[in-house]
Amino acid sequence: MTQWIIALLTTCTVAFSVAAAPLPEPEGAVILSVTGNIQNTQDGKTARFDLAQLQAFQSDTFTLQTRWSDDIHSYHGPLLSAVLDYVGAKGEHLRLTALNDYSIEFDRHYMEKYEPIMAWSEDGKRLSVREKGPLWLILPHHKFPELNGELHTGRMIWQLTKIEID
Amino acid sequence: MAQRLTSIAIEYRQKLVLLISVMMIFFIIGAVSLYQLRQSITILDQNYGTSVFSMFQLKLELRRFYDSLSLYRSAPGPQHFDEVNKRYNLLWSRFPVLMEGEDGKRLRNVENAENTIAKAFETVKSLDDSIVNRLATEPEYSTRIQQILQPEIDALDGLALQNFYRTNAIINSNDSRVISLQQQLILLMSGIIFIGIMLLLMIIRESRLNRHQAEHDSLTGIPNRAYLKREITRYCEKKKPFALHLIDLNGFKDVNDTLGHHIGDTLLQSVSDRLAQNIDQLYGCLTCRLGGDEFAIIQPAIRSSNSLNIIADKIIQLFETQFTIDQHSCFIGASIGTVLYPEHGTDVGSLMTRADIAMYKAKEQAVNSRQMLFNFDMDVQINRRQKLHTDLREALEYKKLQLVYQPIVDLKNPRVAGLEALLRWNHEIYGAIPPLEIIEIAEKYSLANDLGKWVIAETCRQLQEWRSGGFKPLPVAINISPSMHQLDLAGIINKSLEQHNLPKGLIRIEVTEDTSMRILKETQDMLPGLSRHNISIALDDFGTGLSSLSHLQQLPIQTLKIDRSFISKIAADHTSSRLVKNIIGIGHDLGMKVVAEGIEDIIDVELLTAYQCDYGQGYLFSKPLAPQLIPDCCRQLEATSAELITYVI
Repeated sequence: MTQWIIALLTTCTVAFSVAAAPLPEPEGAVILSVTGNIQNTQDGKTARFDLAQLQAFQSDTFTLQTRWSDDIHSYHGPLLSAVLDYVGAKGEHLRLTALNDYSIEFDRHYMEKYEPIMAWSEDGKRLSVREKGPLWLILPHHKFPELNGELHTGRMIWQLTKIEID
Repeated sequence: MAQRLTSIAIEYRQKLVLLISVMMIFFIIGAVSLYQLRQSITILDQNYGTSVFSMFQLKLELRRFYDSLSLYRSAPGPQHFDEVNKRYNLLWSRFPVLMEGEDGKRLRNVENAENTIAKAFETVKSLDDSIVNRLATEPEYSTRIQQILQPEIDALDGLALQNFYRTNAIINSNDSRVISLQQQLILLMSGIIFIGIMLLLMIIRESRLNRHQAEHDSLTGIPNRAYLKREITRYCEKKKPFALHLIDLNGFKDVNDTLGHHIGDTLLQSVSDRLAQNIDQLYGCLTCRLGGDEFAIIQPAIRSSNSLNIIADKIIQLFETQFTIDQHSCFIGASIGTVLYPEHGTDVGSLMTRADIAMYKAKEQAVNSRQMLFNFDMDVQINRRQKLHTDLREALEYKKLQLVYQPIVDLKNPRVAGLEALLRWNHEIYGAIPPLEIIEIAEKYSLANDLGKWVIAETCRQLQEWRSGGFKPLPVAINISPSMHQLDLAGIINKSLEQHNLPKGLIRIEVTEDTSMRILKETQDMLPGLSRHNISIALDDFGTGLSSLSHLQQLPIQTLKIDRSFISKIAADHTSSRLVKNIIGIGHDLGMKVVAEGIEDIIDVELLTAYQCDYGQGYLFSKPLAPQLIPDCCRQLEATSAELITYVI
């Protein structure tokens, strides 16, 4: 019995030491919070990021014309999957929420194929809230024609601030 | 006939026009259906955009901004001011999507929308300064902002509704268009199904027609050979007795040859009409035309041999009345061969063959019309013929044929002038086969050439054998049959003689008048060619057949053989003796030698010698003998004939 308890305690300790590596606190204004079934947080519940932190993730640039624009623009920002990996996301389902509480949902495997980015800049200029910032989820529909339908473009949520995983 | 062809042509053209029309309608309907489907798909594929959603989002943000202003006024503080700012920025961000991109494009179609939105955006943008600078210190200014915004709120509310209704109207009208397209499509599809059914009916009708045509004679319209065979098979399967009468017209060929094919065809139609009306309708039989002038009648339900005769007699009776075609009276007869199921055969093949045999038997005996019921003796004859055919081939191959030789005696000098080789075949089953039958079979089954070559080779071999036995070779006459004109006869004979080291001229040719005329018809040069090659030709059986003195003029012959029928009567019949005397005279005048065949009496020899006949042949001298008996016979003959002739002289 004692042996069992010791074994259990040891397991817990090891698990805790791996899981509970606290994330560094953001220094600038927080522009993205990730909650839900994640392992790496600052306070045990939420992983918060400022722009500088997000800029450190693996990023991509999509040069395309969205259906809300008359011209082609370059959008740059971290891969959504990179951020989710970083926070140790376990869930399979994502809910992304904008500043005005508009939200969209999709399954995580959706990212595996398309690798969307959370653009924080357009043509090298940082996106303000008035310009659909601070983060705009951009799908690479210039590479994948099947993403051009309204079902997919409707997932390109702007003024993104919150991600929930379950 | 011509009328019939014209009507067929017209019918064919009508059918073609109908078929083309149906196919045209089919293709037109198909094309229209495809076009309509395409239209439906285009309509269904249309997206109505997100402008309605975006407009309502704008309205929402406008309302939220408006409310944040009210909240800030009632409870001023940095938190609510920040909220105003946030709401202001969000409101700002809603405008560009309505002015650019796809939503912008759609809204531009709505009357005045572009202006209304631009104006509202300008108004919102104009608030930027006052919010940052004035509102922070003057919460009451929010009322002013709300007043400024109010007209824009109203205008945008109107626009949002207008846009909503417009989009809705498009959706609804598209829906109703799709519905009407689908309804039209139902009609078109019904059309296609209808045309499909029509085509199917046409195909069924056409195939029925084809089948009818395949089983009916185009000239007379009555069933043809194919139909007859099917019917016979059907009757055989029913296993009930029936009779098959095979009819071949006698004298039809003459009508065709003298009055022309047109009359011939009309005659055939009359015959089939007469048979169909009098036999089919009255006795429940089935008349078919097998082709040419051959007809067949199936007589079902045979109750007694009497009923068989009734039909046969009736058929013969029908041909007793003349046929009148275009004012020509045609008298024709019928040879009828009848077989009975199951006595004479249980399948189409045997019944037809045996009916054919019986019909030919009837034809042999026919004066005008004649019916013969098949019996197995007829089959025996046919079987014998077939057996002899196969056996002749074998006999040739295994040398089962023999040649016998009959001496030809010089009537002026006591010597044997030559021999005539005669063919003998002792068949295992049928015994001695008459030479004429052998020749006939050989001719019929293309064995004549082989037979001829064998006779030549065998004669040469025999001559050589005699010579080595010390018997001086005598000229041997061989008979040739009509189809041997295909051979290089002179070449073969001389080559064979050469091979056996025999002098040219030892082989002579005997040819009947009929054969010689047939050969002349085929190859002009063959008989003269023989003479040139030192092969003497004798005209055999002269005076029988279709003898004509002109033959003597046309044919390059050296010898004339007077037929035995004259010789046998010369002693008793004055006419015969005169004829023979004169034939001999003519022969001599034409530079020919004359042989008298069939001498059986010493008195004949006396007369013939008196008429200056050159040679004689017959039982008086010797019957045809096996080769080994010839040398002795010849020696003996030379001795006795010296006596004979001396006696006669």
